[in-house]
Amino acid sequence: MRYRTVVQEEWIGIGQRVREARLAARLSQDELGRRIGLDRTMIAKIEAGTRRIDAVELVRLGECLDLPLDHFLYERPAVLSRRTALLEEEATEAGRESFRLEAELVSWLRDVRQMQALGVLETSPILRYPGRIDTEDAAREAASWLRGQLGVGTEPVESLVEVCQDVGLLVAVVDLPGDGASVLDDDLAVAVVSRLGDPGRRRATAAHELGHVVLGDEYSSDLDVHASRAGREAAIDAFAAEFLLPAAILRASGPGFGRDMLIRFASTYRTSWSLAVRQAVRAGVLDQGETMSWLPQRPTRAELLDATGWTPQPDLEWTRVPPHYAHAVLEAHRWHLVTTARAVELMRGQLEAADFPPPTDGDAAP
Amino acid sequence: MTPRLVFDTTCLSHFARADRLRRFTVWTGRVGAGTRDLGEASVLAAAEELDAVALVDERDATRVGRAYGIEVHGTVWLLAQACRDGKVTEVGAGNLVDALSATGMRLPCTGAEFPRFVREHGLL
Repeated sequence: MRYRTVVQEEWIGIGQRVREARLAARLSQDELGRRIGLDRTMIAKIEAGTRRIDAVELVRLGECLDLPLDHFLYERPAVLSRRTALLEEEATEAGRESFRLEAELVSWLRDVRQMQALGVLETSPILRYPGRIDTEDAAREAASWLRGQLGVGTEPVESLVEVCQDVGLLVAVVDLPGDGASVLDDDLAVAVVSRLGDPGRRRATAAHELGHVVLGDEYSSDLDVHASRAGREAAIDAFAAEFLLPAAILRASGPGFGRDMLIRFASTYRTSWSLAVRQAVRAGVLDQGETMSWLPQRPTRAELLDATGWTPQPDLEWTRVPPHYAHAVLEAHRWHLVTTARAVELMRGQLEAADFPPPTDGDAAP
Repeated sequence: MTPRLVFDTTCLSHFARADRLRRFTVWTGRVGAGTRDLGEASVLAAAEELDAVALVDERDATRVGRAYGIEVHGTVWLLAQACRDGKVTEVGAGNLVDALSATGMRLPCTGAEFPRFVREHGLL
């Protein structure tokens, strides 16, 4: 029996991650080699872990495969790596999408950890629902419980990013297809939500990831739902819908329930139209049979804005990162712990270089 | 004793070890952004490992390197050291400043300003 050294193991891991990233980018070894200036046989050796890469090659790999450098150097958090790896040539489109979203999730986790390590970011402990969730009704109860804990009653939740932050889940908005994903890494929960859906959908995704955390799931990716988990996902969806728009408030709306009223609810609670219709059915103010005729009657943007008095809604649109994290990045920048360019990157599009204050020490010594 | 010096573009190939690559990406997480400013990150990482002086001409990266306790100086500091050691005259150093600026390097003074600049900053 041959034993591998720790160093060999390490390069085998790096090689596997290179291979996985290449497959996710739909490149052959030959194609990747040409793009980064290496022979195909070199790529094969790198992937097998028998040839080491230097910093220049690492940078080229990151550039070519559009991944952060750390992606290749570190194993994913255990809970993520337990999932099926993308190692087959015939990887599906959904598998590739899931890979990208997951890479973004890990990169977000790493950035949050960096701010924590610098001592500029304190995170709230994760708030866990004490009860058991075995049915959709139980999940709805958990949503009411969380609303109670947050002291929002049946009022609209203004900023989901902030609520998630208070509950111990740090959400970042990313420009990638897919809905979202979340991961629990020891005492820290993070999630990414795609900006590509409409705002109502983004909020539903964030509430869904919030559900996973509050109800105690270690990992979730909405692109990766197996039939065996469909029941769990349905319960989490029930939680998200009830959390965003409590059925009780619809029930309390009194007689004469009509489209205008539901538009007002959808806009003040900022939910998608389909979520509002489903919750109205749940509340019993709409009949199950009416769902089909109501669903296509989506309000226009003007109708939605008119219903809220034309107030712009920044949640998950302008806001890309949680407020505490944004503050932490500004602190790190102020103390010269990161450069302006890096601070911009950490802010994920919420700020530009010109938005950062100039250095306080004037010209640094030569 | 002359301190050991790490300067731009010398050291990216120094990193073909996983632990060094990780040290490098710790620094890209401080001074890099995507694949920008990697030269500065590599210099600071190598300087940290070798306990050497980092030679960096980018002010933002200089501040960040110093915040983590690295001794960071620029090319003008190096030229002033050379003047002090009698390896080059002030006029010669000034000519080098102009020659380097002409290649696009961003330096805090011109060749003509060099003697005054280094004295103002206590380098000579």
